[in-house]
Amino acid sequence: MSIPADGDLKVAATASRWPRLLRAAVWVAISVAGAGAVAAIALRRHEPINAMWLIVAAACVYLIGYRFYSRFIALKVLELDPRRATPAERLDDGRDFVPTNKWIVFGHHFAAIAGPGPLVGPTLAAQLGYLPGTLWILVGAVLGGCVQDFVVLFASIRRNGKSLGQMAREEVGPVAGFTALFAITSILIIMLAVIALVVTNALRGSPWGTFTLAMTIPIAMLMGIYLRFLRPGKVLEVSVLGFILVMAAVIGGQYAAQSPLLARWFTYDARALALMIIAYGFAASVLPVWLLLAPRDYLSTFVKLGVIFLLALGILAVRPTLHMPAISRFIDGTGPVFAGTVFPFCFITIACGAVSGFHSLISSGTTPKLITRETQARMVGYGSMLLESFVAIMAMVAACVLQPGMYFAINSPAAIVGADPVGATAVISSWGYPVTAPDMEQLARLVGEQSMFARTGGAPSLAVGMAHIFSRTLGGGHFTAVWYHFAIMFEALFILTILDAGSRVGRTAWYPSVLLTGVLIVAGWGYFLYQGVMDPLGGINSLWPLFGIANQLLASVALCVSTTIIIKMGKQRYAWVTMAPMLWLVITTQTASYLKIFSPNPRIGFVAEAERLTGLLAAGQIPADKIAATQRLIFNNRLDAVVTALFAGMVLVILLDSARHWYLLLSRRRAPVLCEAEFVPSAIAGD
Amino acid sequence: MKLLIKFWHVLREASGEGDYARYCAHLRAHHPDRPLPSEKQFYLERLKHKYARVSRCC
Repeated sequence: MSIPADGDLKVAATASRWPRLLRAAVWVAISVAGAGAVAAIALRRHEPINAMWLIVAAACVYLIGYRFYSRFIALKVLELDPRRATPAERLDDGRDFVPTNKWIVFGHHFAAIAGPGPLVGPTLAAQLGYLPGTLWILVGAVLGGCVQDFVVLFASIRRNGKSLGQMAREEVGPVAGFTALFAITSILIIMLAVIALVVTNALRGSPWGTFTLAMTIPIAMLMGIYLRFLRPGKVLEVSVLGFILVMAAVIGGQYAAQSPLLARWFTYDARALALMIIAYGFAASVLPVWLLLAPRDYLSTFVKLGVIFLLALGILAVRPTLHMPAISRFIDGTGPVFAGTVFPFCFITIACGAVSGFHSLISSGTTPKLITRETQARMVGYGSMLLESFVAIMAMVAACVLQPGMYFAINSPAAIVGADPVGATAVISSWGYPVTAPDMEQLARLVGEQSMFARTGGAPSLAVGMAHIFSRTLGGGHFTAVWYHFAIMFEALFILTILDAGSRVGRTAWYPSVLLTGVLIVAGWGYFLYQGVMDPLGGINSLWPLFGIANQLLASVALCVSTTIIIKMGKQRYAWVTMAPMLWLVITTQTASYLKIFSPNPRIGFVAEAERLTGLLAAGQIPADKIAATQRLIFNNRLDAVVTALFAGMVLVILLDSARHWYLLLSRRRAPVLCEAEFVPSAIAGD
Repeated sequence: MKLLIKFWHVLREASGEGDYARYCAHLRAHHPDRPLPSEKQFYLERLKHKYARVSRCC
């Protein structure tokens, strides 16, 4: 049991020698700057604004959120106790539980939570204009995502690093525990499918990109062999070596694309790429970890951190202008990238970067076992998520520096704008976002691709935006193509790492079970990937919302568990800290699920689309060679409806189960028993 | 130069290169009776452990 932390509350506060008045003045200045920047991005509607407004607004919001809101949570709600020994100190075994420098824990935690999500989500949401997505990224992170990561991390530290599933079972009950496990498995499968689809769409018809990514496989294996046999555990030197080879592959891809023979070997359509990625996923998931997964994980982590850092420098150096309007015409729900109005679809399109349920798995994984002092949970949990949110803002900037016409030409599926360049550009121009076929041809030449039309999934337009920023910082226009393919490689590299790592989860040492779970998980995401590739609307339109709903489902689970713990700690008057974001997520996921299932608009509603296709089939309007494909589409739309209903149902189950529990606790019909580890005073001195 | 050396140490620590040395130090200090694993054994055992659970996020 915790002892009262009387005078010690101040220990967690930032000790500073500055006079109080000066500090107050600095915070007033930050608040005024932040409010001014937010007002500027919200009110300047009819002229392009500079990206720095977004960056300044974000930085000020984060500083204020961290300084005041996370401090409030740390001191008043959770009462972080610096005198309480953490599991890293009590259970120190030199391997799993190790008291680690807080900046290193911060780096590990950030590297684990930041994936393709905060890059792709904002890119897709840019079709609504930069304002809706930016506001949600800022507000969602400060009041929702960071809070979730922080509270779950705290709860796990108090419970010797237990996982979210275990905490749900012990603190809420078996129903919540089971729902949590089920949610984790389903979100994993949908997530793997959708990120595999992003890679497939990025590499379709691109010999340069495909060559580079294919080369990363032997490079990673080479690194793996080096680490296994030559110099075990010497991660840094081998990563430097790997990075040089990968850069050679990025540059070499250009020559592969120019050579007729190699170009033929590395040019594939989406269907072939999807099948290859599925085969790769299975093979990679049964290979030993040291050969492929581990070395590529090192490589992709270093590249990822480096690129994020470079992107921030690039944006600061170039200070680009955002050409996308603040609010586009597609807030009415007719957007070509994904169908649906701002509410609820903006809030499920951007999950990572605002609130991502998946983070609760990392916060209750390795991180709580490394934290030296409880008070550091604030900086690691809340702080890392702020940084991820900033990555999302940078992705939004990278998407919005493109001319809107080009953005829509890259991101609109052929089924909506047509496959013919002249026709497609005419449709997009008629929306009020002018673009011409020669513009697109020039863009394709500039980035070394055959065509930039209908490259849905977010990665290509993000890569164009990044190449635009990078090539203006370093090297001028000559290197645009190399930067573009570097950006594609960077995204594809860590997406493959996640595919590979995700397909291995939940297995035991017994070899037949390794094969079986590998087959089951790969078949799961492979099915949805293939379905997405065959979908004439491009797949992102149906799969990305499913992924968003699944991710927010997991966030609801994590926030329910957090709320229960806060109530049990006797802090019910502060339960709104986690309950408010949870209710918002419940409202958005339930509305989005309802619309994805029942909306009469076939571009939104799965059932409506299945019925439309059934009608066409019955009326004999489908050509004979398309009948089988149409029947599959009908089945897939119905399946997606069922999966959505399942997710929405699970949100309700966990909410009702928790609400019942809260009622029993608050009406004192059930004693608030926390499953925390015993209090042991810390022997580690200092901060 | 001092700064560079410090940077290298932090990088080593952050990348996990220092894990083996730290574990050996821990064993020597707390369990002198137990045999030290070889660096290769340790590396492989840690990898298996690391990838048994969700280690990377979306």
